[in-house]
Formats: sequence, structure tokens, C-alpha cells
Amino acid sequence: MEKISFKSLRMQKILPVALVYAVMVLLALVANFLNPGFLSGDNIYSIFKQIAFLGIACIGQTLIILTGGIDLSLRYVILLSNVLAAQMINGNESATWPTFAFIMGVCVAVGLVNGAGVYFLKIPAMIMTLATGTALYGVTLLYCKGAPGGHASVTLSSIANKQILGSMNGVAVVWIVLAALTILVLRKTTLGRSIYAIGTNKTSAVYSGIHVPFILISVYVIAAVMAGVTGFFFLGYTESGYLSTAASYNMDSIAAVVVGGTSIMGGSGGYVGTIAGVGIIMVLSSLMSILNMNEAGKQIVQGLLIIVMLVLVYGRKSKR
Amino acid sequence: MQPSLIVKDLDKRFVGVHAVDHVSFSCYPGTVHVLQGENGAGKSTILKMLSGMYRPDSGEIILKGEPVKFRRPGDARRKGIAMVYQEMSVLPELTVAQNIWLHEEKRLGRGLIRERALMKATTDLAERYGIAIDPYERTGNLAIASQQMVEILKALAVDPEILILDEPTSALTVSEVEKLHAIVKTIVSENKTVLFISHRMEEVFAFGDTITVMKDGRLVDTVCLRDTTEDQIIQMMVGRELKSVFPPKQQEAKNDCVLKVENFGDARHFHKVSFELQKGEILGIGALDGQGQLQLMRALAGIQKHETGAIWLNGTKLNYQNCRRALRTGIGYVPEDRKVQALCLGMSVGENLSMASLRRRQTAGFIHRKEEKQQAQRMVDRMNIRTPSLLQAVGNLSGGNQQKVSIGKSLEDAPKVLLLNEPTRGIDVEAKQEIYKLMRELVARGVAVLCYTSDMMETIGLCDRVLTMYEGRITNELRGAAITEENIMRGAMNIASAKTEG
Amino acid sequence: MNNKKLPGILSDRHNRQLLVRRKNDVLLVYAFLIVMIAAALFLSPNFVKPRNLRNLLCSNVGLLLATFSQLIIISLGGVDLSIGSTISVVNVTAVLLLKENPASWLLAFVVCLAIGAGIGFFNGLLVVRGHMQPIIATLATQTVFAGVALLILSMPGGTIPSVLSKFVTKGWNYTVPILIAVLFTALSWILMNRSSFGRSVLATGGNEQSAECTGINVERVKVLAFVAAGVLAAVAGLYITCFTTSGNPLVGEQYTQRSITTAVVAGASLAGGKCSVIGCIAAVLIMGIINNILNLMGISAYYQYVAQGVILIGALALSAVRSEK
Repeated sequence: MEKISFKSLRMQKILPVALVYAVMVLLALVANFLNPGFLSGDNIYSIFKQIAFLGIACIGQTLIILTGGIDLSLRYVILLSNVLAAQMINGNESATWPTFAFIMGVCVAVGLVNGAGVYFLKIPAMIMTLATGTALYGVTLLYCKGAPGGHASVTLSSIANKQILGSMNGVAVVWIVLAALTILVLRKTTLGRSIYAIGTNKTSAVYSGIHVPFILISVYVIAAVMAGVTGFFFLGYTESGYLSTAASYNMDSIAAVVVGGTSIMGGSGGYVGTIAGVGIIMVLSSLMSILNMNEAGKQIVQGLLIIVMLVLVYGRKSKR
Repeated sequence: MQPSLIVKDLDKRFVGVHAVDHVSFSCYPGTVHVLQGENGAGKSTILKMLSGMYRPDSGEIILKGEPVKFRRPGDARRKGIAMVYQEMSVLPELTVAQNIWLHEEKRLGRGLIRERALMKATTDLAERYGIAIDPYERTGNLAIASQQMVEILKALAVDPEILILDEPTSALTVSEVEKLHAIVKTIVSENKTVLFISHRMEEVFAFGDTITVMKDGRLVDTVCLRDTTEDQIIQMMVGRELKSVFPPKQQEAKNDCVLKVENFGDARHFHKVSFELQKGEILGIGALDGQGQLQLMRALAGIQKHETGAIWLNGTKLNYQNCRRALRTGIGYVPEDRKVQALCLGMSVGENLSMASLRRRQTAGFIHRKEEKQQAQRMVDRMNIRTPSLLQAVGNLSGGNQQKVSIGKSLEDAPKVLLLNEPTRGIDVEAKQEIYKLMRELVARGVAVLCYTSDMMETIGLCDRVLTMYEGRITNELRGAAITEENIMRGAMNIASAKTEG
Repeated sequence: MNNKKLPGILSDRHNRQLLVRRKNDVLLVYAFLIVMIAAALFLSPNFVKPRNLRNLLCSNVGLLLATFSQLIIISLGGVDLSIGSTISVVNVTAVLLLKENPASWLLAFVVCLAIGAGIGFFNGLLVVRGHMQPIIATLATQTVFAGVALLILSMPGGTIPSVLSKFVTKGWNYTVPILIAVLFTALSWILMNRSSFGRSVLATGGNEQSAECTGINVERVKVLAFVAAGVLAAVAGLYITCFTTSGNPLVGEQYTQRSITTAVVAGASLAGGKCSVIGCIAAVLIMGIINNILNLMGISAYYQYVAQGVILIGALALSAVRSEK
């Protein structure tokens, strides 16, 4: 067998991800062409402000999809955190971080429930998270009696709105830190390796001695926590709780992860690609506004995009 | 008399193996025709071609004088060849009657299905063949033997010319086998042909009229059972040549017991298994397919549960019911299906090699990547794994190299005992030799090796000692010169040997 | 071996006993329904009032129809996440096409059923040709068709002729909706239990390879199942439209999760191969009574979401525990 250099195999792994980034840049350029000023500092800043939220939420979705599942409770955990934060803080500075701790606790509980249902009860991830999501939606409505109120604290607002380090806000910094951690975990830790193994071939993972229940449940806990972080900091952006918070995040996150190169079947991909995927989703959304497409168009395009990605992934698999 | 079924020059190849090599034989109406041969002789491939699951590469199947071609499994049923599979394929949620007439409801009337008609047809069919079954019962509630009756009736529902029974008696008790015998008699009295596979010699002679013996994919002979003896059949089945070169076996048996197994059993597949695995020896299991050896290996590896018995490793009693514990105590397992059970095909060679031993190469969860790479490279060199780099996806490797990665993965965890299930399945001769050499090295270094391979020649060439297994029990222990094909076959079919061996 | 010698046709009593044993899942659901009714009677005197009961029944016919649609796909071994979008698309289309003139009604119905069949066909194609699992394919199509619904009608609005809506949901002194429910129960029951198509669906869901070896054309069965489910979803959409009397591109969303819950509670297994049309009625009534009681007792209606999530998990847990035995 001819020697293929290390570089070439590395290229094989980097190429798909690089491609996604290239597409993102391309779309941004197109958007700038159609609407000059798109790539201006101000506009980039405003995009960055929003992108961080989806980015953090997608950390969880990436991990769950890597293990072979899909999280449909994402949106509802974000919503619950957002509403809880709004009403518990209610403008009170000193309540900010204790509320955060409480929300984190709630999210850990949600993650444990999701993970337990998926592993011990063998309920398919999509159905389990759909069920918990619905229940959480009810809890949210009950808590705020259908009309979320409350107010962000100054701390939270400034985290979301004050410009620091050039083009970023506090949430973007949080995102960058979490993103780096995620990439680190996925690439260099036993947890990350186990996640890929479980998603690639659960039986082999079990027979290799990997502690599947622990890993799986951890993944769902991390995902819920990330959603909680998103919802909490979202408050700084929206100033108050809204029932429509993160309404499209379920499909947006799935689209971002799938477009970013992570296989929906699990086991391949990673967060680096997801970041570009998030970028594409956001730029696409702006692009469609520029083209005067309404919400309906956006959904159809996104849905078709997912279908195309799925057909490609599944089509390749069946050719083996 | 015209043959009901003629198999003419049937040929089928798979990657690396010539499964069926221009086989021809004829079956006649009103007879029971037995198909016999060692593992890998080609019987099951022939059956799959007859039932429409596989398409022959060349050759013809002639049914009632007409050549037939099957494009999908259902075609054979329609044309008159019905097969009763070894694995249960009844639908547990449907009733007996619904299962039997599945997809054939039109025979009982056009339009909507009438359950009463189904029930009456079932009762009539069952009576016709002397089978006692309750058409309204939910099939999943029935005992296995009854479910098998449903399978047989389902095959008979299409009024086939040829009925194929693949190991129909494996799940039956003695009295149930007798009942089956009566049923088969009734079927042939209707001038149908029954094609029968069984590993039980007594049944072959009790049920069968003619026997076709296969060896290595080729036809040996087709003879009348009345004119043959057990011994003659075994002689026909054995006599294969050693294709591989095996490294020299151990010179003298050591007496250093590494693994002691006593009274090991699960409720269904293996019972009262006791043996000792000595240091420095390769211990093999000689058995035909489906005798419980698979379950025994899996239970030893901790993947399956066992009900009775105990295991001692170097004197310490072990207590595990899951494979993580087994791995921790030093029992490694190389599964028989590497693609599905051992490897993560989309991940790299390096990642696969270290997968079972990650805990040894990490601090606070962070993998020692440099050390991992070095270890992996050492394993690749030692096992001569042909891969362009450690980063290559395992799925892109050839079968032999994939198997080496699978074994290498177990080795990186430094096991004290290595259980190998079909270690050379589906790999080329060269890779096989390398694996044999590796196994010898392992035992020389003090690892105890227990191995099951369905290739009897491999068992003979490789193993220092062989335990033969029949229906879940150890029937014989063979050592040294006594490890011959004939002795293993006798043990594997539980036939008393003419000569006794120590 | 089973040792009941059969001298001809069995006694009916024996058959009945076996039937009971076979259908014990369904009986369990009905037992639960009875408990629910008892609880309802206990908790609120207004429950038995004819007006309340009529409302209870008629408002849940749509869910019942949706459950039958979902049942087909679950029997196949999959899950249909796009049912909500189908209902939404049918809703906005119906609002668009239904005019005062009764002649337009036939066209509207045909178009809506065609839409349901078309969406079903698209799903089936993705599953069979795209080699995807139903749950993934329908997750993707759900977005697309939700978008289509929004495209047709971007804001809630529009109306349908009150003659039609009144007839369908209240006609002949509330008999019409009950008749619709009974009719489609009968049709679904016949489809799943007495047609060879339904048998093939159960076989494919129960053991696809075995079904293939029996001669069933598994690919064709899958596509047809999705088309049938799509048509039933369209019927559900039509009824729901008559009930809400207006257009709302998001009206169908809740029906996805609710229909999955009711189908599972009715005894269907997510693994496929098992279905109970009769059980669906009890399941829908159970969920309906829960909402009804919350309403009557003045408890916040939001509890129904929590109830749905918890009940779905509970039903799946029960099914997992029982299949382990």
C-alpha cells in the first residue's frame, strides 16, 4: 500500500469543516453584496450578540447528536431558564448569581431525567426530550401564569449589551470560553472519546469497557446546563421574559449541527463545524430578510437544507 | 420417478471464500433429503439460494422439471419452496392463525380478511398434519417449541412442493422431536419433499431417506441412508487438508492453572461447563454451529449473564455479570463480529486500539495523547497492521487488518486471559498466519488463551487442547495426537468413538 | 407444545378467554379510563352535565383522527413528527378554499386529502429511497411543511362557512361528530385488522426481515402506510378546522406530541408491530378528561402540558418494563 502522508489524512478530516467555513464566508459576502454594510463593524457586532446564544445552545445539541440522539427539549429549557431568571431576579442585583445557581440546579435535574429515560428506559432520545420539553413548557406557563414578567438586573444587561474587547459582548466571551472547553473535551479527554465511540457503535463501546450510562447521562446534563446558560443570559438581551424566547431554536440548532458536518447518525463531526453551522444559519436568516423572505420562507429553506444534508449522509451510508 | 427438485451446478462465491462450488444433487417426492456437512461446508448457503435469499452466481434450480429464478425471498414461497428458518421469525403480536396465513390471506377469500375463515383454515391445516395448536393464541405467549410449530404451519400454508427445515429440533425435547417426526412422515406421505438439516446423527437416520454430504463447499456424495452408517458419513465429512501453516504447538503441558471454570451454566444454552485453562496453552472448543459455545464465550466475557457456576483467576474467585468488570479483572474478549461488536469503523486505528485501555492512559480525564500514539504505533508494528497511518479510519482497512486492530485493542489492556471468538473469520490466509503466530507469542508470554473457531482445521492446527461441545455440554477433551478431525466431529455430534483417547 | 387437541372449531368461550388475554393491554387502558371517569365524577358535579360531555366528545374527535394516523406509522415501527404540520397545512388550505357555496366544499375536501396524501408520499419517499428512519425524515419535513402553512397564511385569520362547521361539529344534535368518530374508528380498525395491507404494516413493523421473507413488499408497504397516515391526518385537519372555524398556521403543532402520547397510551409499542385502534378511543378520552377536569375545577389549564409529558414518559416506561419481562 502506498504511503499516504499524515498530512493527507489530516486534510481529510479538516476539509469538510473548512468547506463549511468557506460556505459561511461566501454567504456573508453575498449578503454584503446585496446589502452593503452587512459586514460593517456595527452589523457584525449586532450579529455577534445574537449568534452567541445559538452557539452556546448548540454545544448541547452537538454532544447529543454525536451520541446518536436529538434534543427536542432544548427550546423549552432555554425558555424556562429565561422566565425563571426574569422573575427571580426582577431587577435585583444581588439576586443575579444565586438565581443562576438555582437555574443550574434545575437544568442538572432535567438533564438527569432526560439521560435516565434515554438509557434506562430505552426511550428514543427524540421522544424522551419531546416529552420533557412539553412538561417543562407547562411548568414554565404555570410558574409565570402565562405572562412572564420580571426584569433583568443591570449586571445581566451589561453582559449582554456592553461592548468589550472590540466587537464582542460578555455573552460572546462566555461562548468563546465554553466553545474552547467543548472542543478540548471532545478532542482530548476520555469523555470526548467515549462520546464518539458511543455514537459510532454503542455495542463496541460497551464491549470495550466504556461506562455508557455515565457518559450518556453526562451528555444530557451538559446539554441542559448549556441551555440553561443560554436562557439565563438571554435575559440580558431581551430585558424581560418572553414566551417566544428561542422559539425556533430546536430546528435552528439541529440545522446548525447537521450543516456543520456532524452526522445525524452520531459518531462523527464536532463542535468546530457546528460553529460554522451556526454562522451559516444566522447569515442565511439575515440573507433571507434582505431578500424580503418572510418567516415562512426561512422555515422552508431551512427544512429543505436539512433534508438535503440528511439525504447526503444517508445516501452515502447505503452505498457501502 | 421425476425428481421434485434438482440442484444443478450451483455456485456461489463471497469475498475470499468459495461457499458453494458447483454442487449438484436431486431430491425426490415423498422423501426426506438430509443435507450434512461441517461448519462452512456450504449447507446454509445452498438453503439460502433455494429459499430466494441469495442469488446463485451460476447453476440452476429446477423445480418440478422447470428451471426457476428467484429475485426476492418471497418468490420461492410462491413457486413452491417454503423454508422454516432456524431463527424464530414469527410475529409475536399476531395470533397463530394470523401468522400462518400472513400474506396468503387471499387464498381464503377475496376482500377483507375473515378471522373465522383464518381460524378454520388453521385448524384444518393443523389437523391435516397432526399438529396441536390453538389458532387464536397470541404467538408471543407460546413456548418456543409451539412457535416452531407455527413456523412449520406457515411454511405448509402455501402448500409447497419442497419444505426446508433448518435445524428444526434444536429447541425441542425428545417427545417433541418424536411428534415432529410424525409430522414429517405425514408431509412426505403427501408426496412432498422435505429437505432437512440437523446436527443430530440419530435424527438424520431416524428422519431421513437420502443424505447429501458437503465438504468445503463441494459435494462429496449423495447416498441412501439405509445403506450407510454413521462412521461412513463422518468419513465423508472429514478428510480436509490443512490449508494454513501453523506455528509449532507447546512441547509439554504445563500445570499452571490460570483460569478455572466450574459448573458454569446459563438457563438455556450451556450447562455444567467445567474446565481449567493452563498457562502457555491454547485451548480450543470444537463444536458445530449453535451448540452453546457462543453463549459460553460471551458469558465468560461478562457480556451475557450466567446462572450457575464460578470462575477463578489465578486462585482468586471472580464475581462479575457485566463486561466492564470482566475487563477490569483481566479477562479480554475478541468478539466474533468485529464490525458490529469490536470496532468503531468511523474512528481511527489509533483511537480503536486504545479504546479498551483509556483509563490506563489518562490523568483527570485528559488522555496522554503522546503515550497513546506511541503505544498504538508499537502495537501496529508488532502485529504488522497494514495501515497508512494511525489516523486512517478502521473501516477502510482490509478484513485481516481490522481483525488485528480488534485483537490489538484487547491486548493493549494487558489481559491475563484472552477469549477469542472466531479470530480469523473472513480474513485472508496471510493475515490468518500472522494471527496464529501472535497467539503463540501470547501464550509464550503467559497469557492464557481460549479460542473458538468454527473452522475445524484451524482448531486442529492451532490448539494444544480441544474441548468438544454438544448441545451445551462438554463431551470430550482431546490432547496432542488425539486432536483429529474425526475425534472432534465425534465429540461435536456426541457419537461414541470406536477408540477411546486420553 | 400446546396440547389442546382440536376436534373442529373451538368453543366460543375458549376464544373469548384467549381474546381477553391477548388484548389485556387494551383492557388496561379502558380500566384506566373507568378510573378517570370515576375520579372526574368525584371531583366535579359538572362533569356529568350533558353539555360538558357533548363538548368533551366533540372537541376530541380531531385528536382521535390524528391518533389513528399516528398509529399507522407507530405500527410500522416509526414515529410521524410531521403530522402537526400536515394538519396546519390542511387547515390553512381549507380556510382558503371553503366558500359559502357548497360546491366549493367538495373541491376543498379533495384538495386537502390530496395534500395529506402528497405529504405522506413525500415522507414515504424519504424513508424508502433516502434510507432514513421515519422519525428523522418526518423531523425534517415537519419544518418544511410548517413553513408552507405559514406561506399560505401568515397570520391567524380567515373563516369557514358556519353552516359547514356547525354541521360537522354539532350537527343532528351532536350526533354528526360522534358518527364521524365511529366511522373512522371502524375504517381504521378494518384497515389495520382486517385488510392485508394492515397486516403487512404490522408484519413490517414487527420484524421487517421476516416480513420480507414471507413475500411482503416492504418498500411498497412503507410508502403506502405514509400515504394512508397522511390522508387520515388531512381528515383530522379538516375536522379541527371545522372545530376552530378559523385558520391558524400553527394550529397543528400540539397534535404531534399529543397524538404520539395517545397512541402510546393506547398500547402501541414504539418498536412497532403492535396496534390498538380501540385502545385509541380510551386513550383520547383519558387525555380529554384530564383537561376537562382541570377546566372544571378551575385549575390552570397549563397543567395539561405537564400531564402530557409525564404521561408519555410513564406510558413508555411501563411499556419498557413490561417488555423486559
